[in-house]
Amino acid sequence: MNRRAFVQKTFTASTAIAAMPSLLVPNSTKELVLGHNSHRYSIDTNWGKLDPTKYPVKDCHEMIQDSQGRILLLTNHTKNNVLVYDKSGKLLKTWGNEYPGAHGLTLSKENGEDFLFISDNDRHQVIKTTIDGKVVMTLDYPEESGHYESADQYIPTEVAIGPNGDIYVADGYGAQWITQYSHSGEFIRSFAGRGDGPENLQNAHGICLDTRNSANPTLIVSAREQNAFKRYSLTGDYLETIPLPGAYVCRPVIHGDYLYAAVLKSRAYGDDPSGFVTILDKENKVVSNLAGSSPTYSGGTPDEMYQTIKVFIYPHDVCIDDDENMYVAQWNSGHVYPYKLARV
Amino acid sequence: MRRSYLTILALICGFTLQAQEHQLSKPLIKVDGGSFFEQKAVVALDFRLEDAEIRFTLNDSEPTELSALYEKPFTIKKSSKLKVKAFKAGFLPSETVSTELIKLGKKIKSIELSPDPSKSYPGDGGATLIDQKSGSLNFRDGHWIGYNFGPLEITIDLGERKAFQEAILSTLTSSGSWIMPPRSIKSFFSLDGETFKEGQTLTIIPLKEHVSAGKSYYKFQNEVAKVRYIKFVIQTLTELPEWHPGKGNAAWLFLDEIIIN
Repeated sequence: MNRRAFVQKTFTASTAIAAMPSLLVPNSTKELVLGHNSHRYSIDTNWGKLDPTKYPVKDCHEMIQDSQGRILLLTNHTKNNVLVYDKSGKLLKTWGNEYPGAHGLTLSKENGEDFLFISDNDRHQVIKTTIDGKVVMTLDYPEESGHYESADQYIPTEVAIGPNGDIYVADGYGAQWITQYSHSGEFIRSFAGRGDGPENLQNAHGICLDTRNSANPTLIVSAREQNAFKRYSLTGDYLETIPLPGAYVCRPVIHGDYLYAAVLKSRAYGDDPSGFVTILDKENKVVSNLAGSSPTYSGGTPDEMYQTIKVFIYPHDVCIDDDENMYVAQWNSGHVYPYKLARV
Repeated sequence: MRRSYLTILALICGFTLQAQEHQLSKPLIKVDGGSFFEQKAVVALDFRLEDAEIRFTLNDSEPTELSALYEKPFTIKKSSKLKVKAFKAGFLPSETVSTELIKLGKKIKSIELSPDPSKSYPGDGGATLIDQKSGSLNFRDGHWIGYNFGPLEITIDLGERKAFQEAILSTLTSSGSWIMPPRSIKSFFSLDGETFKEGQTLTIIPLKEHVSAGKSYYKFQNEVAKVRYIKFVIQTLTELPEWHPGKGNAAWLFLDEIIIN
């Protein structure tokens, strides 16, 4: 072929390509990049897949990374409430069959040893275990608070551990109190509670210690029905609301200078499966939504957020590992195992 | 040479088509004041995904990649069926989002409901249906009245003998919340409020599966020249169907407005 013919052919080819852009953008799962700005990820939906006849999951509720670098998943399937993976997705071990309402999983590092706090919706209890599942403490409903008449009014969803080892339990499916206990489990106080005031909570689904301002650690609690996080002092004083319009935020997860949260569903789509993942910077400004709308602001408030790509169904928790990669556990999503998202 | 080039192109297309696995979510429709308007409505569409396009139609046709491209909020002045869809290269287009925007007609003078709505969702009684305010998809927003019993009789008085073309009953369908279409609606017309002449009857096809929450409008054409009174007799769904998790229980009927054009 002479040069002229070649140029002509190239011209034809580029015209054809320009005319068919939708056919030439690769879009296998491997090519898909989710998120905005500094936080973009590729996704591996096969990461946590196991044989469901051997290692079944119901809802995949929460995940943490332990001090050994392993990834722990909490599910409410009592054949194996805890699945322990390595970062490549290989199953290392499983344990636990007495947590039918396994919902919240929190890591507590105590003098170099890892402990877990499991919040069980059905048992109306919080159970502290060693990293291998040996029970070391059980917290029943906080009768001393005077807010509860019986255990069934108390449906704990999540635990956070304070800098001095105090235990904070969010009663996110119950009466919405945050109950603070000493490290050894003595009742200190309850705060927040259900209501319409700024200090109250509706669906206190998650709680974490915010260590991003190391001089002044505080608590961040989800108010999922209100599409917001709320911040409290370590003694339960309400400090501020972080509105996230449209986003049913599950639990806040602090990693480095960022707050990460699974968004169960988008308000715009009612109860339809419409989850995504949101990431807030140190000033609690939304910087990235994975499979969600570009973060934009009107005044000081985010514009309504919603799912844009149907990648997730009902994401329930995220875990960020020491490589800055992310794991996503999902609720009521056809028994899917967790996905892994690699930071790009 | 040319043939081999085309083959390669075809292969690329085939491959990428096969690899398309992700669908876009639905774009958002935001209308000031909801579904009803007096003079005009400003429609804003929202889908904040890089390189995605929102296409829309106002003539009840399915939006395609060739339909009007949404660029900025627009105004409509007549009743319209808006259909919206998001597109992005390499992704399956979103589902179509539809909404009907209805221009309000004659003010209704008075209305009577028999029986009164459920004590759980009383709204402002009959006044709710003629306040010219649209209910949202949140049935607790105060713009709705609810019934989990029937039949229900609604009589409206236009105040004088008037010609009208269409009467519209605006309702909510939200099967997940047990809010279902009624079984049938009979219409009657009268000049004096005493003698009613039977008009159109709408028999509604029952839902066969869950549907996303949305508004449903039931429309009646006028068959006589002038009327003063219009009566609707609504047979509610007394039992949720077999496929529904609440099967056997009474379904709910929610109404937010009656519009006479």
